[in-house]
Amino acid sequence: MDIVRVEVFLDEASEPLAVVTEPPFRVRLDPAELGEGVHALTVVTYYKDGSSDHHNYVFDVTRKDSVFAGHISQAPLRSPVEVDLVEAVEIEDPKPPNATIYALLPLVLFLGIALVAWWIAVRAESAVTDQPEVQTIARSVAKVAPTAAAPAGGADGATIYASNCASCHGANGEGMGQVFPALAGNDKLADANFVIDVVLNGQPGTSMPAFGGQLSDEEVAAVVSYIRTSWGNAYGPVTAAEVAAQR
Amino acid sequence: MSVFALRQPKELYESQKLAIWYFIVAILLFGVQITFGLFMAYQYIDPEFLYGKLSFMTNRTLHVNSMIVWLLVGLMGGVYWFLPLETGREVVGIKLAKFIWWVIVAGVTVVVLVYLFVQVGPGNAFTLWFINEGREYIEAPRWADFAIVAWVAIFLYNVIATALAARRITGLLGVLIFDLVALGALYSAGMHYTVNVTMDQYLWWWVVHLWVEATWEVLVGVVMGWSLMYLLGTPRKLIETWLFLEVALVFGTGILGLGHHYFWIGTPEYWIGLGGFFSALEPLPLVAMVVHAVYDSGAHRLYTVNKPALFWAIAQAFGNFIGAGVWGFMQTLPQINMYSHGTQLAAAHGHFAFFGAYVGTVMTLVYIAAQNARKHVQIPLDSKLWGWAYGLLIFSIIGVVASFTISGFAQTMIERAELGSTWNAFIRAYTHPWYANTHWWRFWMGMLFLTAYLILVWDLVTIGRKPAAAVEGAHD
Ligand code: HEM
Ligand SMILES: [Fe+2]
Repeated sequence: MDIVRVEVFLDEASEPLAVVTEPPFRVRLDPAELGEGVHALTVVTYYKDGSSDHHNYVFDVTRKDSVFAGHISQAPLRSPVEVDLVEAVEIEDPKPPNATIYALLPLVLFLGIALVAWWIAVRAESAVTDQPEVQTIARSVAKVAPTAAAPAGGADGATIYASNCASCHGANGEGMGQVFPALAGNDKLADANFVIDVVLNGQPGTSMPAFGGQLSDEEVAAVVSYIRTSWGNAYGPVTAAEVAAQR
Repeated sequence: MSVFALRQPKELYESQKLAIWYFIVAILLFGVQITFGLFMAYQYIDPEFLYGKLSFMTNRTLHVNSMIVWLLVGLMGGVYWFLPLETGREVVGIKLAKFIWWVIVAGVTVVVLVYLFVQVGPGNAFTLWFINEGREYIEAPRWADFAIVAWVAIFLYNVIATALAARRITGLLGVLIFDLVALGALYSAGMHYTVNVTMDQYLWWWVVHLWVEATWEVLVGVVMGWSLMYLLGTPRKLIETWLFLEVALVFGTGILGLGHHYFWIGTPEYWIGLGGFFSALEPLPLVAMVVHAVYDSGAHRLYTVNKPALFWAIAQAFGNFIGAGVWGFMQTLPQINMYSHGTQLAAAHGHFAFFGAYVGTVMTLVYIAAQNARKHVQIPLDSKLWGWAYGLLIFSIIGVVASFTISGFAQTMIERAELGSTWNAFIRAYTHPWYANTHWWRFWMGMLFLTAYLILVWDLVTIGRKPAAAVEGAHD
């Protein structure tokens, strides 16, 4: 450590409080000489190569006889204190750190962790949809998944209702809360075109999805007829042709 | 020169100038995070808002990704700020560091624009590489993943090479080096894409949990250690002793604490015991940090060179403990998590923990840089405005967390505990006033948070501008 000079400034003073040119680099702070209130101490260190740096301390004098020296000292001061401006350990010659521990070991650890993650990932295949495995899985899921519509032989409105609508509108059209309106005793069902439109296209901005893509004209007609004629509703059935006209 | 007193030369080090860019970008991305969060909060109230243009999922992606990026950028900025002070020399490889930084800034811009304007893809390899990798928090497309790994690698090189060149290794530097190794390597676990969802999540949590509950927490310990040395002049011995204790506790509990995410995702059953036990101990290091912060600030009677930074440091200690420790503990035991898993309680905890632990840390660092970035360094740094930003940010995040907590409680009780997770139960909870009415509350608390953010930005631009209290003598 080639420190040639340490200057200590108190508060906004332009003249240093002390200039120290030799170890031990110390300054004496006397509470009796300091006004009450917060003080700042700036320590400027000059090095042999002409460079310099600084660090700051803040401390408080509350009563004339007790300086609270902040991080200069842990306890309020009753008497003058000697402040070390340079830590003893800073003057020692630095020892270079062990490159094996701080450079090689980190590299090995990094690769180690990355390899373990990679190994785990390789044991499970890649999942992008254009991978053959994913296609196979998708096909087998499609095979066992229940389909919404009843198979050939005419659509059954009650079945379609049970598998597509009942979870929200209730098994008996009673609805749920404010979000899912009841269908039983609902005046709006009188307008057949409105009902068909909502089933086909959903109602944007609400939880009602569009079923036009997954139900055929016959199926939409069957389920609309079902809700218009069940649970006390008597609005009459609709035909597949009416649905087709609204597509 | 010295490595021990955080000595600041008249001119900032190049690496500190770079750190200021890190902080500027971090604060801007903070604004992006808040904006998209508010869009979502409003979409809860009016689902037609931006319907078909900017979906909830896109907003959520931007909200959480910008958060991860800005917090990480802020923490890294803190290292670039303190590293030359710690080693007493310019950072080695600073040119490379600047280069990769601007590559990353450009990359983040492109990723955000793609999120906004492309949003979705067919789920094939092209999408993975160029649009979105699809995993929460780390959605970045794969090309960006590689850029991020290169970035962390250069960062690590900066730290190691600087320590070697300065011929000094301190306790803080040693911890930092090994923590960065883990942080970088774990990110690579988030780059795999597997057909088995259990495997996929198994690795994904390595990034999410092992980052925020292990490696980031230790990184915070390091930069907060430097901050306290700067702010209070806390002796290095004290800082390093606490740091070692915290590292031991964080890794000792946090690594196996990973198991609290492995309860119900198809992983072997022993994780229920392991995860429950170790994660329940995770608040311990956070208690230690509170004790440390209170002890230190008390010993110095809050006299500091930088008021806002010290207050943020204290908020960080408490926020970390309450947000991560208490709100996390609330739902970490498997007996409770079985009911609360994936409800808004997780969001309550996520908001509280990220704010308390990481926003608090980055704010501390940003104020330290703001103080020293001026021609005349004001000591102690203070302003009228910072207290408003501080108080309002904390108040409104607590408001947001409270609303999430109440709706999460309604979900846990009604949907899970009482009605047994049926579709009907889901609807009942969803339409319950405790759930539905908190949406408004959350939105307005979010608006208040935005206001506080604007005050913060204004304060950061103006604080310390008037040279009145500056210590002139030292600089001329
Ligand atoms: C600063 C530290 C922490 C942060 C930033 C954080 C953040 C988060 C986030 C964002 C989530 C939601 C993850 C998701 O499902 O997408 C989460 C989940 C969770 N966290 Fe933390 N956390 C922290 C510390 C802790 C601690 C210390 C504990 C335990 C004492 C904890 C316990 C949990 C649990 C149990 C969950 C899962 C909740 C569920 O099952 O839905 N966290 N955390
Ligand atoms: Fe976790």
